[in-house]
Amino acid sequence: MRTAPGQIWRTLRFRLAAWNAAVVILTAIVTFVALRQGVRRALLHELDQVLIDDAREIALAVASSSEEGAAELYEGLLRKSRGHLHRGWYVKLLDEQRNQIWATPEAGPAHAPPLTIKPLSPISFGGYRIVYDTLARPVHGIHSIRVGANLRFVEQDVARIDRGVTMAAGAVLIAAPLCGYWLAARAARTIGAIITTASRLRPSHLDERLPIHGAGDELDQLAHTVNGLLDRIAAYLNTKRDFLANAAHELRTPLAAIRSSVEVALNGDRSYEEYEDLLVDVIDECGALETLVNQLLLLAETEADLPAAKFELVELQALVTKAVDMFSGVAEAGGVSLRLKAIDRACVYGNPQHLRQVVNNLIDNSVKYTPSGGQISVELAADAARGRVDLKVADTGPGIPQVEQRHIFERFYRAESARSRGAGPRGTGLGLSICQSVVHTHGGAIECRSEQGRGACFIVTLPLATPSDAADLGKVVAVNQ
Amino acid sequence: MDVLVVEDDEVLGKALRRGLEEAGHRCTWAKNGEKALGLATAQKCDALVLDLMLPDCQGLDVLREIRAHGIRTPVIILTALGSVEERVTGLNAGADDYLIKPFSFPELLARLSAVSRRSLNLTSQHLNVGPLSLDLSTRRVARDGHEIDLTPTEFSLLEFFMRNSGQVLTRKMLSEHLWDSDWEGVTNVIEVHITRLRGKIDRDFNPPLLQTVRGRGYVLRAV
Repeated sequence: MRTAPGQIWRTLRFRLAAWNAAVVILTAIVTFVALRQGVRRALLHELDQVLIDDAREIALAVASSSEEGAAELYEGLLRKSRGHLHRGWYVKLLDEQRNQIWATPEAGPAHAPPLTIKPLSPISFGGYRIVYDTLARPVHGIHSIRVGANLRFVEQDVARIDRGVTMAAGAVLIAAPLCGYWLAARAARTIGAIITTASRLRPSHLDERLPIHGAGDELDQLAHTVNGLLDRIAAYLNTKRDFLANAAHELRTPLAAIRSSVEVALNGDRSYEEYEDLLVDVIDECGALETLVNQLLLLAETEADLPAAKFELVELQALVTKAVDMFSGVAEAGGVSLRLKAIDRACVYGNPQHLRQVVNNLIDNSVKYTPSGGQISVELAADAARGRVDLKVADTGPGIPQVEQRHIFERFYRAESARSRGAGPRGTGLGLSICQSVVHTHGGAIECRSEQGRGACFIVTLPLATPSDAADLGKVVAVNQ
Repeated sequence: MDVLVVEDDEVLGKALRRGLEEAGHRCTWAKNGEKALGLATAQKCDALVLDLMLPDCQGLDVLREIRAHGIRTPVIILTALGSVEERVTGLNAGADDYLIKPFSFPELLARLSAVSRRSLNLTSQHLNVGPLSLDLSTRRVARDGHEIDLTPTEFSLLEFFMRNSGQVLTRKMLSEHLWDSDWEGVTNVIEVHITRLRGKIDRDFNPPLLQTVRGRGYVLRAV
């Protein structure tokens, strides 16, 4: 992967790792803090239960001790304090004014706790946890007792946990970015491979494809998508290349004719008639060049894929009627009957010049290939319910063999039957591909139905103009002046 | 007619001048916009043939300038750009007609006489060329007093020839006139209609009026 020096923070790898680490560390800290607090609370709660039980038990022991059993009571309490589970445990026996009557050696807080302290509800005071309880009736002058334990030992336990937590947090702090970086690098390596491959691709060198790792993840999907795009671009470029080569080749023929005519004309004295002959040839070839150039431009225009800007409402029946009129002369001269079988009124949204070319090209083709005595029928049938219109141009000519039908819409393709046909001017081989291109940009379809020896029928289907198309324009552009 | 040709291409300019002079016009050739503007504003010409791409400025600017001076000399634009919008822009800027390169010379001549005629406002209900007469209102055609029956296409064709009598008309011009279509195919769709028309106006009469000019087109001549 190529990264400008000093800009590592801009790489996907770095950012993924950073985010990953931040999230892991934050989660760990929150968890550890919550854990520590929870443990502390649990320890304190346990201590409270012990102290409350102790207070109850001692109060009961004091209450039930006999008048002369005070020494025995104190002895018992001392034993309890020595063997108590909690270190720093103490008990104080208090008189009515809460002054100390007797206490265990462990002294408890330096100052007396406040008088507002409630019986059997533990409080923290002076570094101790304290529980206070009163006796129902005084014994040995004892009115109340206070039990407590030094909190230092609880805090020591918590501090031990804190140390563990700190060490764990430190480990996470180091491990999280490293793991994150490693994981991100794994993902980025695939992307890096894609970038390396993609940067090697050139219009002249489009054979290479992005690597697919077979994980079926998003990166594989990305690679698949880009590869599909590359396939289409490569195919498109090939078509363009062929097209350019073909176009240049086609331009060469009339150009060669012009050159030789002029060279012959310049080569010595000739009669006026000879000069005229040669010049007429030149003009004819210029006409052929013009036709070809215009058709190439038309094809480029239809392919630019932005013709909708020039779209308007076109009365198709007017175009068809005119085209039939235009070719009626040629057809009749060739002994072919060209007639309008049926014509519906059909308004489509499109480019009138381009649509006219479609109609003209189809009829021109039929007239060219139908031998004397044949028939051509043109039919325009609108289907308002399905919102479409069909233009059918059917002839009784020799038809188009199945093998050739697949190719007739290709540029510069001339069917064998068209090549071998000596009579008539040579076509450019672009007519039907122009038809197809125009029909496609108009959202329609073109199809050829033919069997060898049984005529050919071309059907163009176009969507009828919708009321919204009409509203867009607010007017019908008359093509039928 | 005095024609001012504004064209920077040497070969095309030379051909235009020679062609116009041989067709009986006087021709001044300006190779840039500045010179063209000076000549046009001097109002010494009857028509202007203007190339849109000039070395020093845009042809359309020259045209707007001329029109801004209140000069109404008919202008025909020459250009290699042929889209509908460009045509509309040109006509909106004050051009009278529009020719796309490459064009045929007879077409330029015909359009020149058409625009100068338009500017003279010569329109008539009756057209007469030699022994031929055509009445636009009744749509009747006669030669030497003999009425001739024509189909609508033939009538339209003859009307066009009579309006441009003596002028060579190319197939493209005829095709555009009849079907307002720039038919780009190689099939000669005009020839048969010419043959038919000829059969009606010339076959039974002498001399023939509708003639073929090889490599260029057709012309109707009152002999």
